[in-house]
Amino acid sequence: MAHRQSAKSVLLVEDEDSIALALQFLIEREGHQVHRVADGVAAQAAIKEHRPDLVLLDIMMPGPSGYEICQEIRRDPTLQGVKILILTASGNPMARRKSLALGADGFLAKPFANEAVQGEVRRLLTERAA
Amino acid sequence: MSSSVEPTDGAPSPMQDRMQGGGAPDWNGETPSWTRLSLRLRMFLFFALIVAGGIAVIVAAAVYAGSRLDPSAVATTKAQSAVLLTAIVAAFGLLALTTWVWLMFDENVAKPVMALASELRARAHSKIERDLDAEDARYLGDLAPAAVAIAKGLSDSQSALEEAAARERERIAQERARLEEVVRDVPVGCLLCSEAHRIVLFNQQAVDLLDTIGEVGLSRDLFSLLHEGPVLAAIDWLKRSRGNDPAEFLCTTRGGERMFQARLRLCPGPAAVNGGEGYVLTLNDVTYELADHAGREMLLRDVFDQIRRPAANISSTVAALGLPETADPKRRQALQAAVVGEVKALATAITTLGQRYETRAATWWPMAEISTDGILAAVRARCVAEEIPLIASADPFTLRCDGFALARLLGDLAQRLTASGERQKITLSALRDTDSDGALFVLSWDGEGVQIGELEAWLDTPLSGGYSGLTLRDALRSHGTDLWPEEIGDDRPRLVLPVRSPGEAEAKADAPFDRRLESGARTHFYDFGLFTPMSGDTDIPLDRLEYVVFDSETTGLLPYDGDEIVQLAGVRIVNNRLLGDDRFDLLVDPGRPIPASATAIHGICEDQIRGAPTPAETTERFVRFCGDAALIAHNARFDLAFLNRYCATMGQDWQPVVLDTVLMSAILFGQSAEHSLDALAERFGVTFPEATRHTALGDALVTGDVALKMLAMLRGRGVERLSDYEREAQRHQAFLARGSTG
Repeated sequence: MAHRQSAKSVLLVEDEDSIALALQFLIEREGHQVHRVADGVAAQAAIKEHRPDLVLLDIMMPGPSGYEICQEIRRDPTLQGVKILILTASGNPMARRKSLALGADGFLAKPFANEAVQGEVRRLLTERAA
Repeated sequence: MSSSVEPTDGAPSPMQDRMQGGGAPDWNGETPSWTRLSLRLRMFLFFALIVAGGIAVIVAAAVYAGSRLDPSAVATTKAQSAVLLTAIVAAFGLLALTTWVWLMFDENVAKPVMALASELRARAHSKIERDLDAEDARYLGDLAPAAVAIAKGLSDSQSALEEAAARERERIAQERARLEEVVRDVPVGCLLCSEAHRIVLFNQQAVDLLDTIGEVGLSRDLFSLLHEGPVLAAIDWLKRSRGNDPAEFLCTTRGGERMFQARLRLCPGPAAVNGGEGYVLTLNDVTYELADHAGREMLLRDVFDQIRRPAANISSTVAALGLPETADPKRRQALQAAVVGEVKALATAITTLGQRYETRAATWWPMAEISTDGILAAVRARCVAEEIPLIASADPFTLRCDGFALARLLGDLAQRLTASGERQKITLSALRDTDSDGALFVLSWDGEGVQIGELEAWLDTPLSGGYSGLTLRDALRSHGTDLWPEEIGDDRPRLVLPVRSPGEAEAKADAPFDRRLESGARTHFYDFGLFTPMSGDTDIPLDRLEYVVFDSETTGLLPYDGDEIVQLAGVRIVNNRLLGDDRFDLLVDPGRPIPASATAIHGICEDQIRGAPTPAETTERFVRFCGDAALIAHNARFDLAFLNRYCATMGQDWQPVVLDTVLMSAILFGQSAEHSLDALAERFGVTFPEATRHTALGDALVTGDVALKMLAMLRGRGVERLSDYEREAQRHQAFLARGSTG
């Protein structure tokens, strides 16, 4: 069975420019198309418009939190194929468990290594070829 | 020593006893003083005097009459005979009359008066319920009714006094019981110590704080538990300052395992002149608080250390990257690598410090061991009061948390869930959470789910119940947890709240072989009689000694020929009280097979002692338990043979004072009496469950009971001090050497 990674659409929801810049660069190096927004309201609109394959979601940001965006995606039957990767600086030990319980597919706590991000992106966007 | 047959002062002599019983008077050969004679005897002598006087008068009259007769007349002889006859008849007549009168007087006056006096005397010294029978005193005129009235008045007064005393005793007992409950539940360790630093009173908190350090009990040495330096310094300061304020200081346990914030106040003993000056010591365990504070300080220091340096390096390196000289690719590459390295170090430090902070974040919040049952009961009660329909159920287990905050949090959530009217049949359950090794609180309901945004807004509202503005989110953070909604398939929507159990309380060693009383508060936790200091350690009164009554069960009767102990138990006697719950009770692994014949007696088999302490280890612990108490045993020579052998192998020099209940029995009842423990128990009416006989603890308790009774009897026989006992022991040495009874 071979794994093939074609170009995917990735929505980056991150309010901090520095980290957003770095993440965008890393993901585009993987050959994917990245669209970045900086708050929850813009994220809601972008999801409806672009229907991304993967959403990288910060939790603490202006407007609806990453948890809310995650819950909305999972409640929308038309978005069931969307993968969600939570990125957060929260040190709460329950953050991972909460994220996964709300429907996230992956969780990374900041600060994280670039390799970790790239690994999670690859894992979540891998397509199985017959 | 006086015989019980010989009369003692105040008791009637046999002569007096016979007089009072109606027998003939008697003399003991001495001339009695008139006032010491009994009433009947005096009355008898009075009437005898009358008879004697009358007869003397008659004789004198007859002699006079005879002297007046003409001795030359022929009729004189006849007249003399007539006078003599008349005198004799008169004398006998007088004697008979006087005797009859005396008998009547004796029967109807003297005896009733003495009987009345005896009755009144008896009622003056003891309460007699029956009415005074004055029938026999009916000839005493007003004396009988007066005596009846006095007796009734005395009886009524005695009854009233007894009732008043009983009421007062009841009141005092109730107040004491309340005080005992208060003292037990004082949230800090509380100790009252004598001037000699012996524990006179302790509460359960003190036991909880110090029981893992050493023995906490009446008459124990405080400084076997705490380091003496700070305590002595505080006492010295208070004595010099003579102020009323207490001294506050830090002190540690003997080995430094725990630190306490201590508060000491001097207090006089119950009888300040003789009782000596003791002190009250309260202890608040600050071990974890200080450790927690130190940990926080260390964390803060590490934050500055581990972040400042990389941040400074990054700043310098990035600034250098902007210089024209760094256009050189190699130099630029090196600087970039340096930046990357410092960033990685910074990221690692932040991750590590963040984990340390999260771990520590929960420790400042007041936590306690609380049952999930208790938390749900509090939520249930609030929901009933506020008419929030809720059903609560729990797997009952203990959790270390702020139960009050969690109960308020869950109650607040239940209130908000029902506020919209769109959610019904709310259920709250508490389950074990395998992921966090704590609890999982789950609120579920029928109706619409909860949006995470709505929930996050709830969490930012203040926690009800007087938490000073702290929010629901603060309560979650304090427990290092979070809360979220779940909607899985067709299941009811729910809110999930995992609660870890941080900082597990240290568990006490579960020693199945240690059968000391572990649950429940001690019933004997004060004895103000211990306040009175001993006058010195020479010639100690027996009732002032502290004792450990002990017994052992063994593999056989040959302590020097292969037999070993399989059980050792002891109970403490302090101030003439047997403290049944201050005990030592251990099974022992003898390191050899237990014969079936021995098991048949004490019921201990090899399965029970597998893994139990060795005889030497047990002896070491027992010696620590005894401290400097004297020992009492039934046939102490036998049990001590084992203990002395074990002490010798450990190189321990242990020379306690030892009393033997077999010897006490020989002193009191004679060597030929039965001295077995069963015989002593029967003699003193000491009962015990048959199943406890021939168990070390059961036999120790019986021995303690009979020992207390015999010690009291010995005091009555003049054996009051240790030196008296030792003298008696010397006299009965041969008897003891002849062998054991038990």
